[in-house]
Parts: sequence; structure tokens; C-alpha cells
Amino acid sequence: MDFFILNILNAMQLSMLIFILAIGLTLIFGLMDTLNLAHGGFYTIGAYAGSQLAINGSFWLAFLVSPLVAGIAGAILQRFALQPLASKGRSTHLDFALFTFGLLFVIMGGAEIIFGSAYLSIDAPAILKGGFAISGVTFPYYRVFVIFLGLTCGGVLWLLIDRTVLGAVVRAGVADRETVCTLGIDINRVFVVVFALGCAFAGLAGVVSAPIFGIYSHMGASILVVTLIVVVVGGLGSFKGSFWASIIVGTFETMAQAYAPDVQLYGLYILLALILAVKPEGLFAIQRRIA
Amino acid sequence: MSENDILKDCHLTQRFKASRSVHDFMHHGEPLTVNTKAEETMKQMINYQKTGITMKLAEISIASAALAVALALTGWSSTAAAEEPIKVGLVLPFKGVYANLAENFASGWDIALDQYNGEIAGRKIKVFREDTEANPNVAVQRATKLMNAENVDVLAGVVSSGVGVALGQFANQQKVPIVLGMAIADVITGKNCGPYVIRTSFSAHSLTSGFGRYLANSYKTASTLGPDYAAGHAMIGGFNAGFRGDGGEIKGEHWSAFKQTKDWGPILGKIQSEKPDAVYSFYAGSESVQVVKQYANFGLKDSIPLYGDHWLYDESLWDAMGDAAVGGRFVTTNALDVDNEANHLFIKAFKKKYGKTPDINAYLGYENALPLFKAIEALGGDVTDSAKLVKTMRGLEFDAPRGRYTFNNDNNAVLDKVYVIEIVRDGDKLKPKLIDSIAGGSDLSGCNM
Repeated sequence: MDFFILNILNAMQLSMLIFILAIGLTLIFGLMDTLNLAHGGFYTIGAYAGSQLAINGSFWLAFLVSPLVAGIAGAILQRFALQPLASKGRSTHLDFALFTFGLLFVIMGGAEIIFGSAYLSIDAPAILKGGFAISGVTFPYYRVFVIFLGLTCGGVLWLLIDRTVLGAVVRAGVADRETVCTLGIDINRVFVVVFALGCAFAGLAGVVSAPIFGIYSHMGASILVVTLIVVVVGGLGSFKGSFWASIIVGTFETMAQAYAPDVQLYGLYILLALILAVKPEGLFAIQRRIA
Repeated sequence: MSENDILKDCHLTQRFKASRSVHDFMHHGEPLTVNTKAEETMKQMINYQKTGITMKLAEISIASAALAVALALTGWSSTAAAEEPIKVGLVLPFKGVYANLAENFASGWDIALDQYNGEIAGRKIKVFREDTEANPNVAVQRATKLMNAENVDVLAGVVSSGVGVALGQFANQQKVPIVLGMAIADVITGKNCGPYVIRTSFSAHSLTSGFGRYLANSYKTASTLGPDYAAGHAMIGGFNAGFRGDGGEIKGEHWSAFKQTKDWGPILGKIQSEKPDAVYSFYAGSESVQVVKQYANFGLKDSIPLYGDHWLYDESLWDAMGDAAVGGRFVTTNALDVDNEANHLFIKAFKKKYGKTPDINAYLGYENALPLFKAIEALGGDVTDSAKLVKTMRGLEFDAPRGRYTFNNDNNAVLDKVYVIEIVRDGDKLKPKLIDSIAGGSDLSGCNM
């Protein structure tokens, strides 16, 4: 029983980490219909920015500033690369996917050139070191922090989308982009803000996962698959879907490792195939008006 | 093959060699003193090539034989040999995940090259570096390119086991010698062994089975943890065999999905409930960092010691591991503290050139080049016979940084001794401390050569 509780906690921790990572991708896709495959790149940028800030400062400085760095990088990408691309007529899913996928490798290569191929890390803050015991098994405090952070991010984003003007504009943009434009809202500006926000979440995931997963140049590619699975299973662009899909994926991974290690490697893909067979649009598909 | 066929082959080879020398001579245009007969023969041959007249086989053989005799008489042939460098293809994963490792390996190689001043038995050593991308298919392509475009005499390096298996088979098919410097998969010098493949590092089984035996002296029970793929099974399997062989009990074997698992929480929970006396684990790169850190985070480090090898506790990962690495103990083939002259010499040379101490990969690189160079030296620089080069290398016995260095009949370097290291704190930094030297294990059998 204790082992099971431990695994529930582990599953929650992994789920929330995946959620913070996937939420940015969902946000961008939901409003902008852009599949940003460079998401892993912003995760990398956040982690490396964090490692540099944590050398002289502290974990908390890295925690606060790294998402900003990733967010600003995202804003620049949207304003000066993706938007011009779209206004020149290259705005299909494939155009953006190819461009951002290439960018992911540029960022990975850049990280290797600047920081080398060595492995880096960020130390968990002193206050979160150690853990509490569940009958002889220690559960680290830092993991508890990750669980709370994931829930907080979900809550904040829900408030933002559901209770603010920006949220209203975003929701309106998802439902009917043309009408939003006719109401005098500069949709390109909203796009930049949303893109930056999405990338900031990726950066946050990078810095938060660093004490557990470490930092290395190809880290962005290794998380892309699981993030994409979450976004697809949850329903492209759905926040609620991302949340539940993260929990499904995180729990499945953890429980498979704990109780059926042999299915770990391919189990997730079978799950993905099954869900898509039953609900091809994902668990919580958003209604998008087909123009 | 009939006697005639053999003769034909022989003649053709001679013709090829002779015309190549002529070509080189023309190409470099360096002044040479050759007697008129040789000069004439050469002119004759060039003429034949230019005009496109096909000579009868017998004529070619007479002409080339005459040329060979003439060249031998004037001593021209040895001059030619001096100008023709020995070409080595150093195939390593220079870019990507293993870039750091490959770079250190190549640094070690360069130290050996420096010690010979880049020249053995009067022939320069020319090294062609080629990136394998740690991918067997790519590696075979690059090796083929090295053979065809650069005409390399020997291949060396190789980090990944997958690449090692592929290039080992390639070498046996192409009859080009390959000197593997890491690639620890047991099959390479086991089931897949061959007269053109020789390994200067060690096999997974020989490293970990010795360590398993050693730990069985101190602990009754152990659990193991490793990635679920070939190298993981080879390393962990070796440990289990050694540990069980000396009366130990393996409480649990735990496997993670290679390159997929990022969170080891559930496995660590299981290990905690198994309560083994010790844990042995094999991982590399980012997975090593994750495992060592998470092991400490879950509070296991203080209750159950985590043992590994020089990949789990890779020196280049210590910074990323931080405190989690302190007190970790691992088995390795080379250590800075090993007190022998060859080791002191290497460390001194390495420090002088790179301003730091060598890590395990640098050691393996150095010990990859050293036997090759010694074999070339023993053959007086004549590496035309590939199988003979490998055979000569196998017969070597010398002192290397790791200790007394010999090969077994499967063409695999024997681990006379392996070393147990503890990671200790030294001011702000971590440093390796030699705590024991133990007998190495043996290879898995299976070679039929």
C-alpha cells in the first residue's frame, strides 16, 4: 500500500512536469494553429539560462528569470520570423512545423557550441532538500514542490484564460479569428504575447526539471515526443485536455515502471494508438470554426 | 584457387603497386636518383598507360618485376615507403551526445602520437578523423569512404558497441584491420570474433564480473539497475554472474526504458523495499546524472551504497551530480593514482599538453593507439599484411598505464587488474581516490577463430 502511495506521488510529480511542458505548446496551438516544434528548444533555453543564473545567484533567481528569457526569445521568434513567414503566405502546418523543427536543432547545436557537450545541473534550493518518509521510503520535498507548481500553473492559466480580457481575446481568437480582427484587435500583437507566454512555460519547465533531469544540449529533443503525445491525446489546443492527458501519460509511465517494466518502452504508444482509434480528435477536442 | 589464379592475382597486385609508385613519383615531382634501367622501365610503363596499349599479362609481370628489382637495387623502394605515410582512420562520434567523450579519447590518441613524434619505423602516421554519429549505418559508410577515398591501412577508435559490432563485421569482410578502443559488447571478440578485429579496451563482462566477485566479499545481497538494451544487459549480466558466482544473492534486477525513462522514482521505491546491502548500476551520460541525483534525493545514498563503473560515475558528470556523487564508488580500468611508470609518463604528458588530468576516455584513447604503434614498430613499418598486423599486436606484452598489458587468443585486451575508486571531496572540487586494486574478470567465451 505504501509503495502504491509512493507511486501515486511519483506519478503526480511526473504528470505535473509534463503538464508544465505541454501547456505552452497547447496554448500556442490552440490560438494560433501553429505547431511549434521548437518548443523543446525553449525548454533548453530555459534550462541553460537557469544554469547560468544559478551559478552566481540562487535557484529562485533562475526560477523567476529563466522563463522570462525563454519568453522573450519566443516573442522575437514570433515577431521576426513566424509572422513575416505567415504574412508572405507560408502559413500551413507543414511550413511552421518544418521551420520550427529546424530551429530546434539550431538551438541544440547552439547550446553545444556555447556551453559544450558537458552535462550541467541546477541544485534544488536548500529549503526543498531532504524529504519526508512514508514507512521507510523517502519522498523528496522538491517533488512535492513540482506537484504544487504544476497545479498552480494550471490554476493561473485557467484564471488568465477564463477571467481576463486577454483570455477573452484568446478564446475569441480560437473560436473565430476574423471576427476578432474586425473588432479592432491587433491579432498579431496577441499572437506575440501568447507565443511568448507559451515559450515562457517551456522555459519554466526547463529550469524546474533541471534538478531532477539535468541539463544537456539535446535535452529538448528527448522531451518532444512525450509532449506531442500529451497534446495529441488531450485534443490539439485544449487546456483541459492537456491537463488530463498529462496525468494519464505521467501515471501510465510511472505505473508501468513500477508494476510492468516490460511494457514501458512501447506501452505509451499503444495507449496513444488506442485513444486515437476511439477518439481521433483527442479527449477534449476544441471546436474550431472551419472557414 | 588454382596456382595460375594465384599467380595472376599476384601479378595484378604488383602491377597496381608499381603503377601507383610511378604515379606518386610523377605527382610529387621530387628529384630521385634512380638508375637508368628503372627509369626506362617506368617511362615504358607510363607510355603504355598513356597510349592505352594493353600489355599481355606476362609482359606486365616482367616489366613490373624488372621495375621492382631495379627499385630494390637502388634503394628507391625504401625511400618510397618513407614518403608514403601509414594511414589510420580514427572513427569516433565526434559530434552529438558523445562529442565530449570522443574529444577526450582523441586527446589520449594524440599523446601516443606525440610520443612517437608522429613517425614509426621511418613512416609518418597520418590520421583521418571521421565522425560515426554513433550510428552503425553511418559508421560503415564512413569506413567505406576512408578505405576507398583515403586508402587507409587501419581503422581505430569506435565508442559505441553497436558501431563496434557493425565495423567488426565490416573489417572481417573487407580484410581491413580494426583496432577497437572502447565498444565493450561481449560479442565483438566473442561470437563475432575474427582475424582482423582486435580490441584494446576490454569486454563488458571482464570489467563487471570481476567487480561483482569483489563486492560479494563485502555484501550478501545486491540489486541492480540498468538500461534495457544490449550494453546494459552485458554490463549488468557480467556483474550478476560475478556476484552470484561468489555466493552473493541478487534481490532484484531493474531495467529502465533506454533513452525514455527520465524518472526513476518507482524503481527506487522498489529497491528501497527490497532492502539490498548494495546496488550496482550501469548508465551513461544524462541517464547517469539522473540516476545518481535521484538516488540521493530519495535518501537511498545514505542507507544503501550505489556502486557503478566509470560510466555511471563518469568524471565529466561530477559537476552536474554535485553532492550526490560524493562517496560514490566505482570500478575502472585506469586511475590517476595507479603507481607505475607508464601511468606517470602519460599523466605528465597529458597535463603538459592539455593543462588537465586525463579522464578514462583519454586513457582508453591512449591505450588504443599504443598497441597499434608498437605493432607497427615491430613490423618495421610494413602494414601491408592486415592479419599479420593484428597477429603481431596480439603477441605484444608491455607496461601501459593500466598495468601489464596483454591480449588473449580472442584478440581482446586482458584486464590484469581493475581499480576501485571513491569520489571524495577536495575543497570545492571532487576528486578520485584509489581505494583498491582487484583482479579483472574474464571474457565470455564464444569465439571460434
